[in-house]
Amino acid sequence: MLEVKGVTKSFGTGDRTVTAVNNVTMAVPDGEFAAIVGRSGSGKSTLMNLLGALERPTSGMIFVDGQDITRLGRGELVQYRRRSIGFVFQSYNLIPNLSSTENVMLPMEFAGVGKDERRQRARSLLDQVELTGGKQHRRPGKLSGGEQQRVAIARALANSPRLILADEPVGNLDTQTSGTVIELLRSLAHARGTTVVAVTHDLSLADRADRVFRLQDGRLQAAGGSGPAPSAAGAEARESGR
Amino acid sequence: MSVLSRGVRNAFRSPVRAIAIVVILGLTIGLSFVMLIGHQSVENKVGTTLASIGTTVNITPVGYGTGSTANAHLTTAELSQVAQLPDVVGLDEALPDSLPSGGTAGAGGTLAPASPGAPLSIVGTNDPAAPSNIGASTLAIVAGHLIDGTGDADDAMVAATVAERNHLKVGSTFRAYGATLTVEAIFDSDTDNGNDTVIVPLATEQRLSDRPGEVISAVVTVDSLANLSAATGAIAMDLGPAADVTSDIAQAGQALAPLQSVESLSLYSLFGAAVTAAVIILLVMVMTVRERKREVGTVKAIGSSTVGVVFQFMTEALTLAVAGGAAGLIAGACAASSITSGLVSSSGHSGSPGSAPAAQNPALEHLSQVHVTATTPEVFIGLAGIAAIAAFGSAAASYLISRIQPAEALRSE
Repeated sequence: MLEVKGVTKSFGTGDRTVTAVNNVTMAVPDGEFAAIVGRSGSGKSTLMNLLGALERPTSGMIFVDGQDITRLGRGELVQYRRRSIGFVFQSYNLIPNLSSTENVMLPMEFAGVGKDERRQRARSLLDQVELTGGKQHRRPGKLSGGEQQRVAIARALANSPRLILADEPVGNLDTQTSGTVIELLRSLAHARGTTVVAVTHDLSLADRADRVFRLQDGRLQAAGGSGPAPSAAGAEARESGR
Repeated sequence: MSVLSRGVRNAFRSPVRAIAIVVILGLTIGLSFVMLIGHQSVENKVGTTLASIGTTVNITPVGYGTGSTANAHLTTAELSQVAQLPDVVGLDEALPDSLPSGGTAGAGGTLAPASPGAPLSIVGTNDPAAPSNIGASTLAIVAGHLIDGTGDADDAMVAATVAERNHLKVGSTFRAYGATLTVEAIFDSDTDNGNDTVIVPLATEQRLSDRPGEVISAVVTVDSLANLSAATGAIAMDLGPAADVTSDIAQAGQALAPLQSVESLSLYSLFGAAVTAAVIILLVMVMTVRERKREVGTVKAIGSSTVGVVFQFMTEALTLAVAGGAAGLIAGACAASSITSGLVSSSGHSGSPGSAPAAQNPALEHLSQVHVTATTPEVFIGLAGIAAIAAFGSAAASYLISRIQPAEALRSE
């Protein structure tokens, strides 16, 4: 279970203070595919960074399986990102001089997995995202956008995280490829029981999500999905049937 | 793939850029290495030259040898005080003279010189084994045994050429100053003058030549090179203006000054080149890390620690530095000899053997001939320096970037 309670993130810009995420409260049960939608500048990516412990909130708490990640020390944050989180970025963020397999092996290397095991698991994950054969040995520059995003998804799954955070995962993809990637993320959530939270302004992705949170000017406006309300504290979130 | 292999691959991610960096680093590291080798070689040359000069002080009466004060001399009593001075560990006194030749040459008669017309010298000394008493650098006993220089027996050591010309053997006798002296030893030396000499005990010469207590020259041995200047001053003060007190250290200081300036120059250049190499690596790594700030954010997001990021960039920098270092070491080893020789030549040593002021002491000759070689310690010092520079440059640059929060790194373009 992912729970966000009253999280606020403010940035100082000169004399002004900009609040990118303002008192957000939300919850995503395990194994759900949730989408956070909003316009550019609404605070989606900042919220994603906070969920992934890539930066600390100004206030509020974020619980992942009951553990408040905002109180973790530096070393614990590294372990959290290493073991519990998988990231999928809009522009894939693959390491350009590593092959697909080596890119997927990288998080496992950080986690201390043995070389043979990580190579075997990387190939298996690439097979699961349907990137097979010689493409597993190609560098990102020799792959299409959709193929690169599959590699990124396989990399996110490398250490079997409890939570996958996808920041505009289909933002750079064509419609057909987007559909494939969305279905892949959705099936991951349902088949593996991995919680997937995707930030997007792509309505096709939001339509396929189990739960939708809408951000506007840093505030959560509404939530939609087939399941129960995100949390009791999510008064601003609206639950709607699908 | 390990951090190490990833670092090596990252270093050559852009081959053109990597080659350019390696060439620049190779030049600066090569220059550093040349300066290191040059500095060590010149330092060795200065050290061995100073060591070979010896720790002796020469004492002669003022004006001795110029003809202006023909009767000037020192005395055994004066010199006995010198022997008591601090740091003085030896005193070799000598009283030279010329033996009148003529009469019947051969055993039992007066001596004829080895070379017709050349003067036959006799030296009374308390240290008959010292070659300096006969103007030579070597003195070897070829027959008989060393005489006791501190006694006053009528014993003599005769140069082999003199002995041969006068048909003398160990045990033979000859006449000098109206006395009969016995040949106790036959010696050989490395100079013509030395080989035309007879050596007798100091007291014997003083007695036979009727110059009691007189000494013409003395060589004082000081315990160490470090104390040589102080001891020289103390001796000069003790003997006063009647004596010329000189040591080779002053002459050496003048002769070695150009070499010592090269030594200093090479040391400053070494630091300059090393700092330049460090700055190049630092700037290269600053640019590299800034270019890849987003990548730093990515690898931190997927689980790398700050230390891991720093270590990877250090590996990259070390790879470039080692490649540049290898090129620099090879180039430096090839160029070290000619560059050092050029520096030495341009510093004032013309390279011609025996050029002033080195001619007075054999140890000060050929000072421009510096033997330049890269020894194992120098190579290790060079490699360690390169590694330290690369480690520092990359660690500083990557740490500044990797300590920022991953989200901030990911937001960068």
